[in-house]
Amino acid sequence: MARETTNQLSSRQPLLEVRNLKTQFFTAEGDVRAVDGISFDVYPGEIVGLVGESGAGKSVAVRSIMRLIEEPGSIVGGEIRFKGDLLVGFEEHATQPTKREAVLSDEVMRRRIRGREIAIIFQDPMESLNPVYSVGSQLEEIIALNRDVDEPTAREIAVEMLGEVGIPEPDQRFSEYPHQFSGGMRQRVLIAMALACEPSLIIADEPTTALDVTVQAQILRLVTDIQQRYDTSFIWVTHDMGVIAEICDRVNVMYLGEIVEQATVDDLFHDTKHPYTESLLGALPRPDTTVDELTPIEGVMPEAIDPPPGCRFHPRCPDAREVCANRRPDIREDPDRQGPPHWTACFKNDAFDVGYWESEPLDGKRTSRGFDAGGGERR
Amino acid sequence: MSVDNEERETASVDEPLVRVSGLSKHFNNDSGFLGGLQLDQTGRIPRPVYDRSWVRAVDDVSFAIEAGETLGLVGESGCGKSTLARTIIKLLEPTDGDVLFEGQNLAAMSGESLRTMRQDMQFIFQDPQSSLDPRMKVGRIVEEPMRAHGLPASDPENGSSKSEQRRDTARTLLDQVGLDPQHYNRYPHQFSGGQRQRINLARALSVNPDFIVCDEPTSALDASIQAQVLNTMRELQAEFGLTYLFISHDLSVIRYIADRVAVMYLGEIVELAETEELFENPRHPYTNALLEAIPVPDPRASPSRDLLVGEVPSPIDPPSGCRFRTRCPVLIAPEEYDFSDREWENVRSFVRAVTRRAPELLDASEASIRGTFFDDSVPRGEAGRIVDRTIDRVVAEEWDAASDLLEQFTEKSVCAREVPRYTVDSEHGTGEHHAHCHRNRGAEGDG
Repeated sequence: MARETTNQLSSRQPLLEVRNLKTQFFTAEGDVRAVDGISFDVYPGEIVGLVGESGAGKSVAVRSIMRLIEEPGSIVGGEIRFKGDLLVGFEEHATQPTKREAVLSDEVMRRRIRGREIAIIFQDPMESLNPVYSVGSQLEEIIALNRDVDEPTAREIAVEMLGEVGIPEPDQRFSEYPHQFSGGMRQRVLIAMALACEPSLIIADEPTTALDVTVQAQILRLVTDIQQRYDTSFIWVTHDMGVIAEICDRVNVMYLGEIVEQATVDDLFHDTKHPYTESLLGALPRPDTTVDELTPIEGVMPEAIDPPPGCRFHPRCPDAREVCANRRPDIREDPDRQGPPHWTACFKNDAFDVGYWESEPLDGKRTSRGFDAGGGERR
Repeated sequence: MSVDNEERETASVDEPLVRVSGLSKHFNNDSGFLGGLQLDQTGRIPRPVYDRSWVRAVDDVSFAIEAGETLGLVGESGCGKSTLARTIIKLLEPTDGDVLFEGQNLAAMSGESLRTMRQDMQFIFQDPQSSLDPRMKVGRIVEEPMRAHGLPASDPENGSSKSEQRRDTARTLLDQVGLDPQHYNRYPHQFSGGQRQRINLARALSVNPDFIVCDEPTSALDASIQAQVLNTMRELQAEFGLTYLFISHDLSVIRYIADRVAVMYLGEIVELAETEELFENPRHPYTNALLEAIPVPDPRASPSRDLLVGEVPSPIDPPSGCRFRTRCPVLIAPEEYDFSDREWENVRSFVRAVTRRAPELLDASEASIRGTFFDDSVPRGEAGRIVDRTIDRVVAEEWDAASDLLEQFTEKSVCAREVPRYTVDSEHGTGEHHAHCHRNRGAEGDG
């Protein structure tokens, strides 16, 4: 793990800059604002976490970076820069979202960026592997396509990569098919595929969620090894705070399409600022210590089709006050902080001057039953 | 193997609610009458062979569940925990062994008597979506078990009909599991995942059972919702005096919900102790490995050190003696060879590397293998000669020959020769602590 202070980081150029990214899905029921104005950076050689519950918009966010959003969805706003190239960008004063000319074409995106520069690893390896081709030939194809080498060389590199990610007898397993691999081994194959073109950024979308803890531990160790050896950057998408604590350098916490807290991993866990992050940590059973009573977060996350007004977390927030129901906080840096920057989208943050502390606490807004009674109906 | 009546009467006072003894469930590998047919490719002409092997999903498992407690059952996927649970309540026919439920042997029961017993045992599955009929309204779903068991048994006293009585019960239950009784007429798809699991709870409770088997009930839920459902399950347990068998792969959840924990590996229970004792004083290397592997939600926690390598062996042909020995980081040295601790440690890591054909052995020279595994200490005598010959085979990439040579060490270990069965003293609490590892030899408690 490259746990650098952000002071060191800020002297370097970010590899990836995401600014005010908005991705929506236009459905019959209405517009789903899956990602609603998120901003974050990834610096060379760091592992950045994107954590949140299902439906928070994590996967849509990383797929937007790869420009893998399909109908009925589309990226409607914001800017994504990668090594100076504009992956996403819009004209400022247009009435309709209009792509800027500098934005890379689909062709360039496919040939130069995806796989070569930014690779993605999905949760279900079976979805990413073709069952009718041998594992090795799929890996070989990717290498031959992206690295301009001839077939025997590609094969050589492929076998080497399989060994690199800890697959025993790589030259024999090269010609085996995906179904002959266990879940953990398949995920290793995907990591090999991602690494094959030596990308500078790997996006991992819940790659260990379906695996057993012992296998997950092997994969996490593999990833931190790789990160150190190749200085690859990672965006690690997960709902598991344990995984975040184990491998990430900096973390973004997502709630209902927004990033609500952004901090170094140590600050996030030991100087937690946003009530959502705090509640999430309080709801976690712990493996390392006895917890007498979990404190669940009340209610369920609403759907992104009809987000609550004001702060999106306020209906479930234990600290909510009247101002939270009326005004929507953007994400701001804590002004009085020493040390690495810590951003929160909460009116409790001193960067806001909206009269939070003078505002009336929102009590009695919750049902007496609490929990997720009512609330979560789906259409 | 039924308990005679007199014994049952006297035993019922401190008999546990569920007693499982010597329970096994083996599956046949064939699916249909040509299922065992395979082609033997070893000869020049492939010939058909009939091979019927058995998957020993659950093998000789014994334990008890006391009334009112939660027994956690933890293990990796494929270890047999779901099969064990299903066999206990006889959703699967056991291959061997007994399950005494309230003193009566379920394994010997069938037909109507089993159906009546089922009223006292309910099951909650992992996926709250697929265990609810999408075309049935919630109220009807909750009432279904009552109807199936002919409840209420007699006409209600207040003059209402049985179906009105069932409806009242259903509404009360919806309220008790934390749902709005007004939602009686809604369909399952109108609820979120956490709410659906609550509907499952209400349905299970409708026949007033004593025992509920929960198979990963919160694994599909988000952390914040999981906490709600776990708390509700605890409240219901206190209110209805329920006994849970709670299956999970998540040790954190188990630590929160369980009173005692059983750890399963490859069809067997390897360790069983009170929760605090198991987490604070684990005495089986597999339990240790599991605990090491869980990521702790605290970046200041020390990162896990000894990771398990390799994968779970096939339950068709499980290792002799201790089933964990093929992956065990603390396999015991065979007495035949006079290994020093250091020598044996080196041999052990060499054996594990050869077994999984570790990358550091590929294309390695003799010198580099010696450097990697035996730089500080090499076994002498007969053991040293075996190591020499194995290294030669590894350099020649003759893996099977290398593995065969090394079996002279591993197969002679007590771990391969004897099935471990040990009870040790508890450091936390007063419960029994079973830890089936030969390392506990000589450290047994009075159990």
